[in-house]
Amino acid sequence: MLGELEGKEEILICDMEAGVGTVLRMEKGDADVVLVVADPSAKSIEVARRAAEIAAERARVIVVANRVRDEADLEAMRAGLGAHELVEVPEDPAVAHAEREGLAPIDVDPDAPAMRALRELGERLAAQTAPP
Amino acid sequence: MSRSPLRIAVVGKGGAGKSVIAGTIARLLARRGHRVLALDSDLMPGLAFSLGASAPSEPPLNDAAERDEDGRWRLRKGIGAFRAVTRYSTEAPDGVRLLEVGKVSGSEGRAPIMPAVQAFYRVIHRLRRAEPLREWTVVGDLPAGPRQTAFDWAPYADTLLLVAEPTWKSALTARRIARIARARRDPPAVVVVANKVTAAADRSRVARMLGEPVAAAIPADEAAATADRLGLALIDHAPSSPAARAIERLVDQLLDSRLPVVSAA
Amino acid sequence: MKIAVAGKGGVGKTTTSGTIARTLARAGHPVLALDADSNPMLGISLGVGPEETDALLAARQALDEGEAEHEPTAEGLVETFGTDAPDGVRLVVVSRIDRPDPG
Repeated sequence: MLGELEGKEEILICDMEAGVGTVLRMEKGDADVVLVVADPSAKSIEVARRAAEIAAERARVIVVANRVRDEADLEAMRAGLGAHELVEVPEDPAVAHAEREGLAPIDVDPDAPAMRALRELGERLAAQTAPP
Repeated sequence: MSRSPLRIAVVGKGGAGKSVIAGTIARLLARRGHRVLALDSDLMPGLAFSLGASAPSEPPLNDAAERDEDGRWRLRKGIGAFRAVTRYSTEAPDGVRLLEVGKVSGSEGRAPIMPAVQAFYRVIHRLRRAEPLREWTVVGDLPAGPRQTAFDWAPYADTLLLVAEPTWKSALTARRIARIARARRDPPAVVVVANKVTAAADRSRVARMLGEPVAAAIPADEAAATADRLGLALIDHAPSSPAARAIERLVDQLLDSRLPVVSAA
Repeated sequence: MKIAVAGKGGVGKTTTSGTIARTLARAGHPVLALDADSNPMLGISLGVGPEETDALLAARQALDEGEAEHEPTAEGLVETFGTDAPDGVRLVVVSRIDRPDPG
């Protein structure tokens, strides 16, 4: 699907099906960047490891180390995923609240720590496209 | 306390805690004398961790299916449900047998897992009629979301354990799954479990968001989160934790059938 | 720029996708958000609300059921099913639950 859309004027962001199947089916050029998201669980790190390895053959990969609570979490994620460019997003009560209430976290608190981390990532990515 | 076999499939949104609940239930039932077959139809890791089992490196069931002259998939000659279970399942603690569809590692592409997927699907559709497995309890862990429920990946299940966190995404997913499950000709009983509950009001919140009663509430638990981080089974890492205890009570309920079970709408 | 978001279910893929989409839109970029998950929830993370998000899936399914022979093009889907989310983000649910692929 991503491959069929041009993405020339707009920024396209695609929330894919969970798992490794999607990156396996991607071809070079379908995406410019693949954000591989993981949380501090062993099983999600394992999936992210596989997905990042495969995606790296097709696009630039940035690992989003999500819901990081402490150094132990960060260590676990670095151990599995440190080979890739990594962005840390802290565990954030504002996000938890948003999920419970069915809201966008940015509407709950746009300056919450997790929001700042993702905004920074967004800005870095956008800097590589044409200015708005 | 009943020892007649249970046939359960655990479903819900990704991250809700299906694998942890399925794996813990499987181990607990085995400790109570059940012969337990744990089924993992997810192409991503999960159930082996929560069973405390070592996962097979290659999909064992890749040997079990082949294509016929017309290119259609079938189980290899002589392989039915019982033989598939005895030959291709692996051993987990407490005598649980684990039958996995397999995990996608990716380096070799998708093709190599296809025989295992085809075999697994056929095996689970023969479970009910497999006489030698009649007394086995079956606990299935399905992948995230409604997809596999929609494609009949839990035909063995008398009971669908619907796991929902107190979030809207989890609740919407649970609603979708319940809807799909009840559209079947012979729908399973649906039992809703609220997981990772943090507030006293969460249980009723989940009930309201789903529009149906919640049979059990399992608390959010540091120990469970640590077990997840370490890749250990909750029942091994923290057997006395609030979450593990709550799952034990859920098992009591499942065995005593004292549940607010919501069957066909 | 085309950004794809991958990972195991439950890690925060959708929350990440939605938040980055809103962030970029707020910074003035035109953003098209695609929900390719067979259990689409991106609407919630974009801020359109749970009921609307559920309604979007129903609309997508109706399309699948009504036009089985007429596989919509990507552009066609965006055209017909694009919906407006806050900050001007355009959202399209592109997933198909009817693919028999169990993976």
